[in-house]
Amino acid sequence: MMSRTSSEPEPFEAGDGAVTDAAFSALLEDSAEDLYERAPCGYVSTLMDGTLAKANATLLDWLGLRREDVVGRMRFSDLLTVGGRIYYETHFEPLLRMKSEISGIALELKGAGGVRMPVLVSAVVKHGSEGEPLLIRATLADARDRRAYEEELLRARRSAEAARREAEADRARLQDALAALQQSLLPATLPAVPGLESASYYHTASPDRLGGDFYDLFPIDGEQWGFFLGDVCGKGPQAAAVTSLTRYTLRAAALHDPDPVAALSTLNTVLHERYTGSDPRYCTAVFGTLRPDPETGQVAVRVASGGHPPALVLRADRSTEYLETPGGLLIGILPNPPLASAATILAPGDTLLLHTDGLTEARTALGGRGSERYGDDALREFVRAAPDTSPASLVDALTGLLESFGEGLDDDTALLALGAPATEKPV
Amino acid sequence: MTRTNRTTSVKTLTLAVRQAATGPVVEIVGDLDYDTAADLRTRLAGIPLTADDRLVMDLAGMEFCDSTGITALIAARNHALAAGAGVALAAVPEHTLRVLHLVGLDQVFALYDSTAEATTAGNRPSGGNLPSGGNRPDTQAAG
Repeated sequence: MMSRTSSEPEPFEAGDGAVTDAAFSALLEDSAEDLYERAPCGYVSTLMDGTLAKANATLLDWLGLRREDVVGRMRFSDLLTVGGRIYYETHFEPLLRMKSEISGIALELKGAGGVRMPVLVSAVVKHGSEGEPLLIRATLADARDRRAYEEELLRARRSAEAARREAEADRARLQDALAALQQSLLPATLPAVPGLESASYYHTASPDRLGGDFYDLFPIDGEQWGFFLGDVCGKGPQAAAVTSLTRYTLRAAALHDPDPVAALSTLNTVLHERYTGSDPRYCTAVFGTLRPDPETGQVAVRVASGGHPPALVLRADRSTEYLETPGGLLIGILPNPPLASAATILAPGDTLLLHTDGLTEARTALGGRGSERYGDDALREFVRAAPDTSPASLVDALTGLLESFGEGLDDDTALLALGAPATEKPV
Repeated sequence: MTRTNRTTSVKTLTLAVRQAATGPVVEIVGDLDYDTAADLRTRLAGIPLTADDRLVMDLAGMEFCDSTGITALIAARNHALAAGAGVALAAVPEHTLRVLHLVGLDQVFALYDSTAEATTAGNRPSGGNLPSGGNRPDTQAAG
């Protein structure tokens, strides 16, 4: 049964079947001819060479052409835009000849008023009684809505791509900002100090390259130089903020009073007042002063340490000793922490090595147990076996060692080596 | 900063708080690190303390402690000191004891070999097992 709306008259009685069906047909469609002409799609028939034989009014309206201009005068491909024509000749027609039917091919008509009109074309070849091809029948469905949909998709894709490009630009800007911050945490190069050799290395384990380890070497007055190396607790931007505060506090403190214990005490006061209560922030640090003596070629060293591994001294004769600073406490925990100081003289060829515990805490595969700390003893042996005792050579060798740890080195690591130049360079 | 050997790749921290004669005892089991230290801080902030209490952190079950874990222990100490209470670490694992000694914190925390000793009133801290690990009672370190 067909359904009707209640407002329609119902002149036919149920059970009067044949009459009912005919009346419905009459009501719905005046004639097959009208259905053909005014169907909601374009109909066209062509000869096998494409010459138009018949077209319905719907299609002629789309084209803005009269029947007499088209039938027998134009070919199907003449109705298409240049792009549509090329596609028709290279794909549509050959495929249709081969398969005798084709459906849903997107083409573009030269529409009325010069407007391109996207259509979806389906076609079948009508064959004669001997199986010979006679003509082509095609229906053209209006695809303007579909094209609008596709353009919407395209627009969405373009805006997604624009957003992606913007995100990449943002990321690049962020990387630049991080690089600038990182440069404020570490010196780009160590200054040249008369009567002193120096070398440094920094390994960062953090993907944003903001480390918690720090070091520096800087002038205090005409005769003295300051240096420090340390390790801020934690990771990422919060740690980097403490690192920056620490670096500039130590530099300023040393200008005011170069005594190593005084410099670390000032830093302790700053950190303790700034970070307290439930968010303690602290660092370990070795701070020291260097006084090169141009007469003897020696360098007098004074250091103080707050909770940091002791500096290692490699003598020119390859003996090693720690510049022990026992009892020094982490900087920033207590208002007046115990800080330990020590002093030594670097003779020509001697080098002082400072490092953070990323080096000695690195996991190695020693002994096949897979997770062994590298440790202080191994470091001491390694340093003793360095090619020569100069800071550059030592840092170079240690850089290679750090690289050999691979994934076992999962923490930031800073190295700073300071030495009195050897009087006789090895050849 | 300080990192010691990790015995398990699964990061878990279990905290249990109980009341002893000396005050609250926080049992820390598992890994105290960057990912879990905040749990300890949050839990500690909710533990009421009086000036008569000694906050004992039982580390017998602590398998891993990095620098952020140490920071959480320091935050616990600050929390205790703010209430005028004492603070103590009990059964500190060897690797963490080594770190505490290295950074001087064995002078700041009262260290006991076991929770039983830490929760016995009047007991003096043992200072852990390191021969050179000198230490003072927690009240002296408070400034």
